[in-house]
Amino acid sequence: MKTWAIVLSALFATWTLTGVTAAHARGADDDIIMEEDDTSKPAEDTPTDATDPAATDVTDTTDPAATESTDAAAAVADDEKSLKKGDDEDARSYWSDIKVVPRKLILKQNRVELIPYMGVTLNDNLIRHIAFGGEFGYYMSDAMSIGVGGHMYTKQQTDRAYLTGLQQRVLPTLNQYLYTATLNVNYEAAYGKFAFHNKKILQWGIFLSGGLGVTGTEVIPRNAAHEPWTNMNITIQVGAGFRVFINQWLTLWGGVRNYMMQDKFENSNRTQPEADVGEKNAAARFINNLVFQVGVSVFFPTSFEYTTFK
Amino acid sequence: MKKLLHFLLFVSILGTTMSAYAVERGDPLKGQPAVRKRVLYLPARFEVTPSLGVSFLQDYRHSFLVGAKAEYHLNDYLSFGFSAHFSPVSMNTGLTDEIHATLPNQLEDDTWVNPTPSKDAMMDALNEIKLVMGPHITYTPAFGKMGLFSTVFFNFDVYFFGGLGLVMFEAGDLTPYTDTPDEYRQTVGDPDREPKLHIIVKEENGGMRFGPQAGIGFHFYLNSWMAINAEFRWMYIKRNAAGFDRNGDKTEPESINGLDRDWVIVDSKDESWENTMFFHFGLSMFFPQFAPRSN
Repeated sequence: MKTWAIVLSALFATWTLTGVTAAHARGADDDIIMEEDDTSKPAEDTPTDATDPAATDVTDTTDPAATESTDAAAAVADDEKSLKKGDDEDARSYWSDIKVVPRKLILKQNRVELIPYMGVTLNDNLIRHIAFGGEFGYYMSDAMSIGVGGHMYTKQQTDRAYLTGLQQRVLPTLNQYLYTATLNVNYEAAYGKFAFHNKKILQWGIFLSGGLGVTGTEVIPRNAAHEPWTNMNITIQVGAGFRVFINQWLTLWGGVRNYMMQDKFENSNRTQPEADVGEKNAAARFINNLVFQVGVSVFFPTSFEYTTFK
Repeated sequence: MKKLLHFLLFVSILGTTMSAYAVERGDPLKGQPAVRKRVLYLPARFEVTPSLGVSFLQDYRHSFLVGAKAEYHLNDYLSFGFSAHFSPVSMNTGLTDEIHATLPNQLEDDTWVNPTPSKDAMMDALNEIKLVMGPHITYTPAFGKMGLFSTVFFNFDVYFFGGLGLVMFEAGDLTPYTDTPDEYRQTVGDPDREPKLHIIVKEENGGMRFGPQAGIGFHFYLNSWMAINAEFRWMYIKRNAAGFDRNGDKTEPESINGLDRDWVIVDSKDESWENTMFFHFGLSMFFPQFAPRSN
């Protein structure tokens, strides 16, 4: 009998406590609903600092690194109303573990980055190249990396190359790119975040890139009976790009790089079919080879630990 | 037995309480906006953006543009507008200079055998972009803030747009360099006749062309009502940029001085769909100037 009394008492206590905690939670939700009510108030009710972009703060509601984060200023302002309702202690404990600024999604220092990418040349109307390659980099700091990259090209002659012969009766002098390999230094010059539909926060960065390397090219003879030859040109690379951070080890990566070189073309007066004679009489010209590249970058090791407090 | 029962009851109470608390409390941020107290730059505001622009990846002539865009933002995400840009100046592409340097100064003596255009004929045949305009609908899915070199911070948004593109081309003029069958008959055999290209231009390569347009752009906000606007615009337009024949159609051969002669026809069938791209850089101004903040 005594045992049954204990059981009944315990069940009563269980149901009662469950109700209390649910009421507690509903009370907290009421605080949030109050924020929505506030939206109907005139804008003058809230202080406006339109000239201070940094005053706008961002909260990620879905991201692992940022679910712990929100706009504390907004939260505190809204909490003031709930404090007046006598709910102060609960509200404070409710928001106290929420931080103002989301941490960087990826820390890069002392990590290596592997970037498989593909690209397309932009600035030649007569011949287009598709590039497939990759880059390997090591981050000395969170912003700067050194690395080596390279790609192979496949060529596509455009309609304009054919039409130039048909319409202006001129055979264009063309070289095709074979490969490019460069030693690169990359610097992340800008870092930002954006909200997609005010729901999902994504972090992104802009990087600048410079490098030195070689590019292999091959002459496409105007006369099919003439022999082609290949060139290996010292190449200076400058570029810029962006990345969008997906998780702690993956980013979407894209950029435009200019591979500058002094290339050797077939002389317009070439008559000898031999490649060595053609190369001896070649016409040199400075080339800007703009390549648009997109890919993904993978960081190793794939995980890391933050060294500072949230 | 009694101790065990008491222990189980205790665990039951504790477990039920904790789980109920966790379920009911939930994620306080779930369903909440990602950004609070942000400046509402777009909703119910009118935007005017005077801008400069330049075409790129053109085959023969780059056009520099000056004009403006007007847009009304229905809400944070959707807007509609119209843009118009005039091109007062243009310049040769590298390809044009290369071809120009290769061509002869005069037409060949026998243009039946070698109809290579002269330098002037090649340049005069090119058409040129004079006006670019069109209505569009804009979708602005994302906004954010960024720091440049960790020193300058500003808000930005990114938008995509699409609509109808209208491009007006100034036609090239091959008339001084061509003849017709009648003109040829009158001068054939004359040792002083100037060589002419045997081309009949039935339709000029100028006028208004229509096609789809789309693009992506950014606003970098300087304050609540001014922003730097950078925009990439793509249009797909049918044109014959070179101004010469490309499909090989000719007139019916006719016998002149005992020889069969035919003339190449240049018309709208020589046009092809081409990617035409522009980059615009302007200053956006929003009205009314006051931008409220969200809650």
